[in-house]
Amino acid sequence: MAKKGGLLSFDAFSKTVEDARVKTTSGGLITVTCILTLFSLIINEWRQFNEITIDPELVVDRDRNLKLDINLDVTFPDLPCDIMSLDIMDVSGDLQLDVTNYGFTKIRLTETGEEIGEEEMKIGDDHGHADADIPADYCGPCYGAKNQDKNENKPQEEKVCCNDCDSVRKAYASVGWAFFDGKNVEQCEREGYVKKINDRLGEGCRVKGTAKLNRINGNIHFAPGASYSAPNRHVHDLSLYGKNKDFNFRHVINHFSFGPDVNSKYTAETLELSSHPLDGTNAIQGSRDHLYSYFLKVVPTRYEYLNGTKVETNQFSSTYHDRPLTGGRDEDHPNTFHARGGIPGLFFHFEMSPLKIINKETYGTSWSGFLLNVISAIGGILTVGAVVDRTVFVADKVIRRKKDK
Amino acid sequence: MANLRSFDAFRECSFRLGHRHYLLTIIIFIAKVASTHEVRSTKGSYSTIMMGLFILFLTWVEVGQFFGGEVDHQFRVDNKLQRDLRINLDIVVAMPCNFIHTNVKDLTDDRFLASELLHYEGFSFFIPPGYKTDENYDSNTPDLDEVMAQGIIAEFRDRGDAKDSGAPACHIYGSIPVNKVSGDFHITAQGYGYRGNSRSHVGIDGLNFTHIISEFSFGEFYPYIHNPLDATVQITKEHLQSYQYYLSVVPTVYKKLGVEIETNQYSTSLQKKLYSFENKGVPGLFFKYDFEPISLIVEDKRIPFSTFLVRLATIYGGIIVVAKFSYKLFDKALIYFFGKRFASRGEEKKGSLLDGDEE
Repeated sequence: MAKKGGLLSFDAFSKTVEDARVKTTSGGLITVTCILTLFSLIINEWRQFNEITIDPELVVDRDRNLKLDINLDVTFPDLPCDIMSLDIMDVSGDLQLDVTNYGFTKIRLTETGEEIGEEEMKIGDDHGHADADIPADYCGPCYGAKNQDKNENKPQEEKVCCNDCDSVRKAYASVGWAFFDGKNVEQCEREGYVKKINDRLGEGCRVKGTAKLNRINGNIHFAPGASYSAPNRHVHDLSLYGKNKDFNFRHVINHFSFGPDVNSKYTAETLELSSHPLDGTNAIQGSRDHLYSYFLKVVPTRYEYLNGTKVETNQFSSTYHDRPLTGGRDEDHPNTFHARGGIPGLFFHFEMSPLKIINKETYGTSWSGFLLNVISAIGGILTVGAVVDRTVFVADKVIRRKKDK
Repeated sequence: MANLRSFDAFRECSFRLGHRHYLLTIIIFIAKVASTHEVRSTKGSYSTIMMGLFILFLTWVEVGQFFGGEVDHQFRVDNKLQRDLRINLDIVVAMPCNFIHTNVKDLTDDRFLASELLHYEGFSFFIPPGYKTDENYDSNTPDLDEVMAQGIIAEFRDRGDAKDSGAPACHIYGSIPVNKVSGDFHITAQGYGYRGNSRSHVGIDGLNFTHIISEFSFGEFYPYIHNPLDATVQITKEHLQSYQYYLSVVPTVYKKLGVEIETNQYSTSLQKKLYSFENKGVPGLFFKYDFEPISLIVEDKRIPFSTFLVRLATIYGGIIVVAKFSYKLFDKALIYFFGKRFASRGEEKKGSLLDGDEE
């Protein structure tokens, strides 16, 4: 053989001639079994190859310019839209007035929960309405809430005026006076505010909307009445809220999230990425003077789809807390002494995490990995099959020979 | 039968098997290899036995790996709306119980009247063996198997001896359900730190915040799981000493074979401060805790059984092929270096050496 050529001696795969081959039944059985096994294994491999897994990665968040999107949708069944205000504050208590882009809608609800109309909601509520009917040189009284003594010597633009109901309300809030429903305030009677407020006392309210914030630690809160902010001070006018026993901040959180939703068909079991822990939360206990708070920790998350699309969003963990404003112990917490005071309302406190999660969709195995797996499966099964077959064959021979003897 | 025969991929070289040493063939572990080398040689037998042993060894390793599993660390954002969590503690302070004031304050401004939930008992102060001071402290994170073995839930026993037994030290133990927000659990002396309602004011000479921590954990009470503060001792001779422990709590889930243990790990750092009359502060033990939003999942994962079988088959196949190959190569090398005669020593039957299956 060696004489036939140099290459021939390298042949690792030497062949058996046809004549030297015997076909056995057991061999056939083993072959069929091998083929079936192989088939199922290859299908399995193929399935694994097509499977998409999500690779989470933990990094320190280095983004500086990203904004925090808040999406919320909360229903207050016992609180009319008109007496509710929404403020966003940072951790030091300053109002976030540089909220660049926001849109909140208040939807009025009847007592039974039907929607009856919507209007835009302003953060901080500090925009007055222009009224066409009033004369140009009109300067409404502030009823002592602002110092108007020196108005007479000033030109029209510098006068301290309360030209509409809203500015009177603001002026009252700034000195901490009770405004109630605006009765006997000329501006409010004229604008129909008093009637409107009183007509709507039994209504509920649903607030829906989004805001883009700077990434700060702070809170977003719903509280009754006009708010007034000064350094180290943030007050709400609770007079109207306090007058009506039926008001309270019972609420249902229909949706609360930071950033866009990620809809991936793969996440459902593996990561529960799109879950919003607050959705569906129903806080129904508590009286009028009750404070509800949620403490949220926001973890920035990037989701990278297979097709290269990247979505920046956030996940968050949350804790719930509520207490009566009267403080002291309550039935739920016999060993807790709640703090006293504060304002009734619904607070979402949030805090940013320094860590960021990157979730990447990847294929479980690459093309070459798949091929390698298939080939090794075939090789392994066939070799083992051959061994089994050989053993069976020899054993069979032995038994026959014994019988022959 | 005839049909099945046609499927036979493993065609035998029948005439090569018709020799007397069939028994040997079977005894030698893999009949395939033995009969492939149609020439029985001691060399071949040795290599076959070695190969068999090697296969056994690899099987052993693989099976061990399969049953042992693999520890997989995952993390995710804690997505449960959790309201409260227990702090479990067991601390001995070297002061009589009636000197001691315990409380929790947190972000929500709630005050937990810890003294109503914790048990106090008079105790004599001694340091149990095996407890660590700062010098010989070791911080091993328990691994999955340890946690699994130690994950037995327990409750503290009920109120012990009277609070005012006059014993020199005080054993404080029990669980406090706190809000899951950052807060501060502290043990101070009566009359320090809180204005007002203190009936007794302990003299400075009576203060001693030397303490032994046997248990400090969050969540369900698993007394056997080791936490970083467990079995530690801090000794001081000063009266106005304050110990501030800063704890970051990471919720952790351990999973193995369907058993799930939900607990909390924490990292800790200790700051000691010594106050004086001029430099006023509140002496005592302060445990300032905060919860991390990302929770860890330590899971025992194993490959599915079918994959395991394929692995085994692949390994066997690989070994057999490689063994055959190297046997041939070795043989070739022998012939090349020492000649045919040397290479065929110990053979029982003459035959060609190089052409195993071929003819």
